[in-house]
Amino acid sequence: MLVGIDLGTTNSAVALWKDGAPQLVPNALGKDLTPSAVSLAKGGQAWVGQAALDRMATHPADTVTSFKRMIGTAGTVTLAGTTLTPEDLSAMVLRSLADDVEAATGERPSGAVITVPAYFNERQRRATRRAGEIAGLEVKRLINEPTAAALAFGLADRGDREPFLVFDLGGGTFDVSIVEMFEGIVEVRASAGDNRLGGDDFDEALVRLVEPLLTDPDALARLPADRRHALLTLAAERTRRALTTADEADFTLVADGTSLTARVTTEAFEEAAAPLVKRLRDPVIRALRDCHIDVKTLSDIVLVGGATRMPVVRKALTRMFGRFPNTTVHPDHAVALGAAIQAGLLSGGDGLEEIRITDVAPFTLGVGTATRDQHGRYHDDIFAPIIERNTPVPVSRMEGFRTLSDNQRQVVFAIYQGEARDVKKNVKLGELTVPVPPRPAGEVGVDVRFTYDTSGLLEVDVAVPSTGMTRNLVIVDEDDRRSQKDVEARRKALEKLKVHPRDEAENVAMLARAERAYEGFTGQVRDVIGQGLTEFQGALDKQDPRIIADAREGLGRLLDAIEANPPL
Amino acid sequence: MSRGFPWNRLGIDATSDTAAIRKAYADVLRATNVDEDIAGYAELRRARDHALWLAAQSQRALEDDGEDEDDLGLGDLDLHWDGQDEAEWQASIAAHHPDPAGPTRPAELAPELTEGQLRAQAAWKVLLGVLYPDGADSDEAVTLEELDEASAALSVLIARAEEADLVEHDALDDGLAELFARTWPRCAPFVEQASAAFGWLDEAGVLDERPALMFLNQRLKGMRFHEKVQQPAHPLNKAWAELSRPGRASMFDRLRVKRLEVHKLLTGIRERYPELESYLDPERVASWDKGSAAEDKPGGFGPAAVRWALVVVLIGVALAHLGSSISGSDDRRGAPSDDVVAQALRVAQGDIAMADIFGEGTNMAAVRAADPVLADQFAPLAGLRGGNAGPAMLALARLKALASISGADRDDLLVRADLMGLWMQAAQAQSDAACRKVMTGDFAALDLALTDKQRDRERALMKQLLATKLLGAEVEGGEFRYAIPGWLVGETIKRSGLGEEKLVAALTDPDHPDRCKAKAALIEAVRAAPGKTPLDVLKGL
Repeated sequence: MLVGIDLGTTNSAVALWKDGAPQLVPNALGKDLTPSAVSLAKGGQAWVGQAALDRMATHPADTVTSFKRMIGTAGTVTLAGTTLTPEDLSAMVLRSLADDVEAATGERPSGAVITVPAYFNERQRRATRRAGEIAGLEVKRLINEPTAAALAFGLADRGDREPFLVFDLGGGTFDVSIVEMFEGIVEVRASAGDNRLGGDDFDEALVRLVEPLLTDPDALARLPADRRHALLTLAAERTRRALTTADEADFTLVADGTSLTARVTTEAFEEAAAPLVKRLRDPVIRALRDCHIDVKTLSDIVLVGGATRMPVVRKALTRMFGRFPNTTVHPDHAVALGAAIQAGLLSGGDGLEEIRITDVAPFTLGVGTATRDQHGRYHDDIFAPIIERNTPVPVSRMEGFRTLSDNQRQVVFAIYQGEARDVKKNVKLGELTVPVPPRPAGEVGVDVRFTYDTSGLLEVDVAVPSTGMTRNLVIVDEDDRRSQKDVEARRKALEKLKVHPRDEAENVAMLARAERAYEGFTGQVRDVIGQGLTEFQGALDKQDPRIIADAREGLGRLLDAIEANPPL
Repeated sequence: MSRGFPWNRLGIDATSDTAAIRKAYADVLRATNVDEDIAGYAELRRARDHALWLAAQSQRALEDDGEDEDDLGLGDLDLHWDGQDEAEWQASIAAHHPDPAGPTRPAELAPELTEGQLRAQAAWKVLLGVLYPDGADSDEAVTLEELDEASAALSVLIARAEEADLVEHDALDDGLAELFARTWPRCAPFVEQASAAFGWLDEAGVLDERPALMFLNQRLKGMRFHEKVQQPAHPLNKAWAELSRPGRASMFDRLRVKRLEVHKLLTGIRERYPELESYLDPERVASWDKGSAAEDKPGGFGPAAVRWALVVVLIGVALAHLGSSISGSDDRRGAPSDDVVAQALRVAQGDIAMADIFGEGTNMAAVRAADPVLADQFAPLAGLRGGNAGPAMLALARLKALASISGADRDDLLVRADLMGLWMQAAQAQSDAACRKVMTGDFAALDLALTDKQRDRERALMKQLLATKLLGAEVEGGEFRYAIPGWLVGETIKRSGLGEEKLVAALTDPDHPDRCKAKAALIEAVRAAPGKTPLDVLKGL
C-alpha cells in the first residue's frame, strides 16, 4: 500500500487514496494532524507527536520540534543522551504515521509519497528520502508541497482552471507555485520560495517584541536558556493563534512558578512582523516573471499552510494582489491529501486514469567554470547555468566547455544549484573530473549533459569528444553514500527506542498534557491539576481499561475547562 | 492542410482553437512516458507552446489592429537601460504616473487613480525635477534644499510601494532603479534609502540581476567601502588618508605609508569603484603613481616590482636528450644478451645503481614494488656493460625527477624544487655549462660533482619521489606558460641582483647569458616561500 505523507515543520499528516478520493488517516488520539515533535527520556523511552509537544514545556532539553529546518545539514540533536540526526527525527514521525495507517487499515504501508517544500534543495530532498527509508518506507516519489496542494484544490471539481497561484506558508518554509489545469493535466508553470521562512519566524519576532515588555523579566532570566526559549516559543505560538481572532491578546507564561504577562496588540505584532511580510513579496514576483504571467490574469490565490491563517499575512496578500485570497482549501490538510492523490496515481488508483502532473526544476543547475586543480590559480568561480530554474522536468540539456590553460591535463566540473553568479554562494552538489589530452588552451572541448528527472534526481554526463573519454555521475552526496549502508543500522537503533504501545497513546498524551498544564499554572489551579494528575495515575495503576478511560475523560474535561478560561 | 511542426507533433491540423491545442497536448502527454522520452517531452512542450503562440497571433490579426494597448502590466518599465533614448524613457515613466492635466493622457487611465496614487505621482514629478534639473542631465551635486525635497518625495514613493499591489510595487521598484541608474551620481544621496526599501542589495550577484541594479549595487558597495575605509580600523585607512591629502607626497609620507597598501587601494578602486577616485587628491595620487613607476626600476628597495612576469618555457627539451643519450647508447651496444651471466650482471648492476640513486636498502625489487613502470625503464639500462649502467640509470632517474610535473601535487613539486636547487648549486660552482646541462636535463653528458652530504640529500629526495610513482610516469612535453607573481619577481631580483627586464628575459630565453643566475635565484626564492608559490610556477621551474 502506498500512502501520501505531509512531513511538516510543525505538523505532519498521512492520507491514502481510497474509494476514489483522498482520505486522511487519524492518529491514535483521533486527530488528523500529528505534531512533528519528538521527546526522549533516559533509558530510551520515546514520545512522538502531541505527547512529545506537551513535554516541550516540562522537558525542553529532551524535546525537539521544527527539526525539518535542520534537514539536509550536518546538525544533530542530543536528547536525553541520545544523539539523533534530523533524518532520524523525521523517521520517527514517519514511523508513527505508518503505525496510524496500520491501525486504521490493518495493513502496514510499504511505500510513501512524501511532500517537500518546492524550494527544498537537492540535499534537503535526499535527506528527506533517507528519513523515509529509515522509517521502513520505500519513498516512491517526493512531490512538491504546493503541487500537492494544487492537486487537492484542482481535483475537487476536476474542471479546467486558468493559472492560479498557490501560496504555501508553513511552519518553517515558504513556497509559491503557479499552476494551471486543463484536460486532466496539472501543470506547474513556475515555483519560487524561501526555505527559511515560516510561522516559526513570526513566533520569534513576537518573542523579540514581547521579551522586554514582560512584567517580571528577572524570573525569566533565572531560567536556563533552553527552558526559557521553550517557554517563550510556546507562549508566542499561543499568542499568535489568539491574535488570529482578536485585536489584542495576552502573552502569558509561567516561569518557575511566577506568572508573567504582556499585552500584544495586532498593530504591534504587524510592525514586528513587517520585515518578514516583506520577504513574502519577492518569491511571488519571481514566480510570475519566470512564467510570464500577469498577476491580473491569475484566476485564484490559493492559501495553504497553517501560517496563512494569520491576519497579518492575509492582509499583506490582499494588498499585494488587490483582491481576497481563496481560502476554500483546508490549509493543514491539502498537502497530505494531494500526496495521497499522487500515491493513488502511482498505484493506478480508481478515477485517476486521466490525471497527469508536470512540474518544474525549482533551482538553476550548472557548473563552476573549470579550474585545473584545487591549488591552481584559475579559480574564477563563475556559475555557468545548464538547466535554468523553472524548466519543465524531466529535462536533459547539454553545454560545451573548453580548456582554460595550455597543457591542461584534466577538467574539474563542480556542480552547483542556486541563482548566484558567484558559485561560492550556491549549493555545491558534487564534482566530476575528466582527463583531457594536453593541448593549447581552448583546443580541447568537453561536453557536459545534465539530466534532471521527475523525482528530482540529477545525473551528469561529461564527454571529451576528441578522446572519446566519458564520465558519469549520479549526484549522490557524501551523506547519501555513507547512509545507504547504514540506513539499516539507523533503523535498528531507532527501533531500540521504546515508543509507547498504541493503545496507551491516549494515556501517555494525557499525562504529558496534564504535566504541561501543571507547569503552566500557579497557586490553586496548579493544586487542582496536581490532584487530577494523582487521581489519573491511581486509575492507571488499577489497569482496568474502563476506570482508566473514565479518569482520562475526567482529567481531559478539567484541563479543557482550565485552558479555555485561564484564571490569570 | 498543414501538418508540419508543431501540428504534426500534436497530431492535429493547424488551428487557432486553444482548447483544441491543449486537448491534443494532453492526449499526447498521457500517451508519453516522460521519464523515458525526455527529448520527446521537451519537443511536445515546444510544439504546444508554439501552437498556442501561432493561435494568439492569428487571433490578434483578426482583431482590430488600430488599437494600441497600454496597460500597467509588469512589462511597462522593462526597458533596456542604455539602449533607449532619454526623452522617450522619461516619457514612458511619466506615462506610468500620468499627469492628470496632460493632454495626451490615455482615457482609460484617468479616473481610477486613488489619493495615494495621485500623491505618488506628484512625488515622482518632484524627484524627476530634482534629478533632471531644467529637464536635463546634470553631474552637479544636489543642494541641501533639493536634498530635503527629493528625500521627502522618495519617502512618499516608498510608502506608496509598501501599500501598493504587486504590479504597482514592481513598477515603482523598476522605475526608481532605472531613474537612479540614469542619474548617477546626482542621485547618490537617495540610493541607500531606496535600496533598503526594495531590497536591491539582495539581488546583487544573482544571475538575472536587473542591469540597472547591477550598476547601482556596484555604486552602493562603493559608497559602503567609502564609509568603511574612513574608519581608523580599516586596513587601507592610512593609504586612503594619505591619498586624500592635498599636494605631492614627500619623502616622509613615503616612509609613513606602505607603498603596497597605496597600490592596493588605487588598483582596487580603479577596478571596482572608479567614482571614488574623485574623493582623492589628484596631485597626491599622481605623485604616488609616478613614484611606483620610478621604483619599478631594478635595484629599488623592498618588494619593488609588484608586476607579474609571464614566462614561457618548453618542457620536454629534456626528453630529446633522453632519446639521444640513453636509448641511443642502448642501440649502439645492441640489446644485452640473455644468457645467465648477463642476467646476473644485470641484477647486480641494477641493485647497486638503485642503492646509489635512492640510498642504501633500495634494490631493483624495491623499485619494482614502488613503481613498476619506472623499473621497466631501468631494466634495459641495467644490462649495459663497461661501467655505463650506473651512470646511465642515475642520469635517467635525475631526468625523470626533473620532468616529474604532470600529476604532481604541491608537496611533490616542492621535493622537485629542492632537488633542482641542490643540482643548480653544485652545477653553478662547477661551470656555467654544467648549470645549463642541469636546466635542460642533459644529465647523461654531465658529471655533476656533489659532496657526500649533497648526495645523501639527493638520495632522500629521490626516494620521496619514488614513492609517488611520478618518476615512472610518461613525460609529456610542450610549451608551458606561467606567470610569476610580483612578490616572487621582487624576491628573485633581490637574490640574483638582476634587473626586472633582464630577469624576465633570462627566464624566458634559453640562451640568455644570465639564465643560470636567474633560474637559480628563482628556485631559491620559491624554496624560501613554499606555501605561497603558485602551482604553475612550481611546475614551470
